[in-house]
Amino acid sequence: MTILSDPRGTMPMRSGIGEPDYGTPKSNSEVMVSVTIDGETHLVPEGTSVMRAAGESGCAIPKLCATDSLQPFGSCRMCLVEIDGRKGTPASCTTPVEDGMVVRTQTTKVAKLRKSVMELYISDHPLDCLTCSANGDCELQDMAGVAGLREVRYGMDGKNHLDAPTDSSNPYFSFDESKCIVCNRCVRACDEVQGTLALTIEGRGFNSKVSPGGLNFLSSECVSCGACVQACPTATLQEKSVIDLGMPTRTVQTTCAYCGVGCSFNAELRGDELVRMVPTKTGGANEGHSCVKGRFAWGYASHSDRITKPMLREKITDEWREVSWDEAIQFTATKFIAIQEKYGDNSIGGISSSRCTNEEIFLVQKMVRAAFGNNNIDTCARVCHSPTGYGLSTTYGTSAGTQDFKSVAHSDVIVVIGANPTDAHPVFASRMKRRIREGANLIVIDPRKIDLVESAHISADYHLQLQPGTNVAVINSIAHVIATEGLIDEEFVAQRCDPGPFKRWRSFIELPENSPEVVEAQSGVPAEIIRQAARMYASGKNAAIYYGLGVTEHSQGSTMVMGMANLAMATGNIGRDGVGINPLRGQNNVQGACDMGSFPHELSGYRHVSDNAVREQFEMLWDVKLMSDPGMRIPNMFDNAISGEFRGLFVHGEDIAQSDPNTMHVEKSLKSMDLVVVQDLFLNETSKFAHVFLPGTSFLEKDGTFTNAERRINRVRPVMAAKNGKQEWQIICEISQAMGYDMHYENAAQIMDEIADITPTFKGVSFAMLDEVGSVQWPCNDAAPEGTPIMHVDGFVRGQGQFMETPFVPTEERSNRKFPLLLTTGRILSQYNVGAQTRRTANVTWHPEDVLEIHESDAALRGIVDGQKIAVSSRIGETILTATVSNRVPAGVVHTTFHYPLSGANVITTEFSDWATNCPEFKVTAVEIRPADSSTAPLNDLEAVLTKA
Amino acid sequence: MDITILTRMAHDIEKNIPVHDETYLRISEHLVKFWTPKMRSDFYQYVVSNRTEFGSTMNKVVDELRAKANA
Repeated sequence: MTILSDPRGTMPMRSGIGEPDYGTPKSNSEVMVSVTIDGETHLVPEGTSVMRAAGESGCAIPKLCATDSLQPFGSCRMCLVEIDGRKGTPASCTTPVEDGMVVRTQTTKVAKLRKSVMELYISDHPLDCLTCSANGDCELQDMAGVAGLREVRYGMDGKNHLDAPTDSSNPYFSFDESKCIVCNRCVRACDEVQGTLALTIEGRGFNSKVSPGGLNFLSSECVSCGACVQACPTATLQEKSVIDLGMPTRTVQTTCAYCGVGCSFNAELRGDELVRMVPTKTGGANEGHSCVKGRFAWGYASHSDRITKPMLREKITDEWREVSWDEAIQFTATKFIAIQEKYGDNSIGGISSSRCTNEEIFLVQKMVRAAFGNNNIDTCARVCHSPTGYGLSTTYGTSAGTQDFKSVAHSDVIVVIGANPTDAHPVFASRMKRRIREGANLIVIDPRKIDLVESAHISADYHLQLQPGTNVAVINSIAHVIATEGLIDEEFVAQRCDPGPFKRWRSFIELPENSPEVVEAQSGVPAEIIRQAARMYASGKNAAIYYGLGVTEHSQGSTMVMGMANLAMATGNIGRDGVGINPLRGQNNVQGACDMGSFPHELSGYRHVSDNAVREQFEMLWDVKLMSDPGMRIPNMFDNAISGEFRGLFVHGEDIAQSDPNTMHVEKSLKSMDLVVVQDLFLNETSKFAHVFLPGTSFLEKDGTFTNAERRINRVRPVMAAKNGKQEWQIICEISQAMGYDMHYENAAQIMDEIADITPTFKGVSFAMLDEVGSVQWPCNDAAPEGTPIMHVDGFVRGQGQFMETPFVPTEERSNRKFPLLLTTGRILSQYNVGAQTRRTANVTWHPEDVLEIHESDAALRGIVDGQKIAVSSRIGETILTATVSNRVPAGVVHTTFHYPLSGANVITTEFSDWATNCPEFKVTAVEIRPADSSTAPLNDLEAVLTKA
Repeated sequence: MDITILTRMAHDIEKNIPVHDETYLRISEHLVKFWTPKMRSDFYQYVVSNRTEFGSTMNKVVDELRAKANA
């Protein structure tokens, strides 16, 4: 008898090279049942389908409508089997194994039935296999072979769909209706996997057809996640890249470089040419799902705008001059040294990027600390999730989300605060939506009516549509209700939390100033809604909080993170599946950038530079004396540049001139420096002020690791040769060496070995380990050799959880008569951050420019209509955007994205920042808008806008 | 670094750390943990000449940190 825990069978494949498809999802039951299939007896988990049991045992049953990412459907009739004691020939996909069941999959009877079914399919299918784009990767073709089809008795001349049109409206895939067998897999994938429900089967009987809501794909609700393309067993839904280039022949598994979900992908190549990116079913973060960015928007890596040779110029007004790597490295090193000799060791610094690998980031901070000889290293996490680090470290003891993504499947109440997962973290949003469709309650706290508030089969129980800048007031009022209505989990608090701070917090939170009735006036959220939401959160069996930059990018970002952490402790929602405090990290490697020691006050593993014991370990390993005081944060660097103290900056993969607030201030500081070195893929806004441009590598060329929002360390493998001829870690080593600090590695694996050697939470991590297990979540060390999916299970990292008082301090950025509206910023699904990548792909089809969402009453008051160019001004500056009149925002609030440099959203954002971390207050800017007129600078003339402002 | 920026940062810290018996410790830790030595010394110098602009706790923090730095 075989126990089928290690499937040895392979099945016809569609979803990526090398990944078997067992037809129906795996059962997670721990009860095993016995089944005899074609004479061999096996043990399988209860609930396993006959099809899956057969597939896992190596007896592949033919199928067309079944795939193991979807629930069984039982429509194609190809998977019929005979079961002893049962009448007829049941479909093996919809028949669960029962203990003692005896199944025969290859009888004369079922063979004849399958052949007849196949004849019907083929009688209405183009016989163009040799020229079809799916030739060799078509399940219909495979099944025709398995069924032994040699002729079609019905002929090919009957009524058919062979002249059905092809919908090529989507830029990435086509829908060739003539090849559709109406298996429903695409429709079910859109429903079950993605949760958008954009597709349906239209018509009945012979007229049945897949339809994107009666429209074409582009104009439908389709979000181009690719789940339908993945599920299609024929060439009906096919990537255009496959149609153009042909079927891939080899695969390299790697990790997406867009958002913090960190999806695993199989990069499928034909020779050295990337043909498509297919989400990996074994990927821990995404389990076979993807979004429009990761699945399709990778073309930027080969875009003609890529800079592949180093460039120099003495002055930023000079033309760029291509130079050799040696010259660029020497120039950089010599200039940095000269600046330090003239202005002191602290006059230079570096900024690392969350778009780069852990290994690259670790070396950038090492270069700054060891070769520059100071701690002036900061990371772009400064402008997004630095408050998460502060807040969670203070309350729980470490700077990380508490759960793995899978945890949401166990949540009974989901609270989404200041995040828009369907746009910014779409693959995780699909998991979340699945759980909500299963019945979990949903509370959304956001000024905007995000898609989760109301979309297909999803409806938030409560939407707390608060005024921007009042997060802390609202979270305090929720806690007030919990504390004053006896909803605190006293047992959890007594066992797990520090009693002194808890007592103090309880006294604070019970104050009348935190009551919903008081907070209603501040936040605009009705008191009764706050009370009901609080009760729902506190009384749910498992309640989880997910949050984004709408929490952190405020003047009280750190306070808000602590407020949420308080709430989870007070209700005992920490330390098990389905609960927790979960930051949805913006960029792919924000978590890793923070882990690797790229904040100016911390070494890797969140250990302060003033800790003598820790510093000595690094000093011994690196053979250099390290500074014990914190270095400059990014805003400090800018301010000090303007005052003349800070003269040289290494910017690694980050476009600070576009992404950081108050653009004029950033540009002024960059102009003040003697040396700005930019390492990136493209010339960007920051490089306009650079003296050295060092070409970087795309994620398809990198060798290393990314760490996603659930602390999952994933391998990034080189899919193609580095277009610049060097790995970025090599470039950093060469600059360090040229500055007199010997830094040398043979490969990226050695860098990870050093990280593991010196960082307790990474102790067990190595490339070899990751290659073996796929991915692992830190802490991964002797205490947790297989990693840690859920943190703080038996105790907090800091020992006892620490409640923190969180007084609400209103931001100084308030609307007034001159600037009566509050601007808040965010992202959109098809674009990513400053758009450097996505703007160089067909994703511009969906979002060709940043727009300003404005409520209809505010628009009417100003005579603004949909699509009109409008000037948006704050006390800092002015820019021009196109108006979109929308009730997604409440009256008094406007919203825009910051994906396009020309729209310059950050021209108008202010210098206000989080009190603890200086994370910018991107989410609250007082503005006024007016129709753009002849006095308004044209959209494509940012300089004019800046000058005028 | 412009002193107005430093004082604004300090006021933000004062406003956001609630007043109780650990306030002194928290403000003190914060400045030492996150501010560069130059930012601290510039700020101390300013506070000494502008005592009334800050609360008693911030004044006490500055005095003690300044004494420690000069020791």
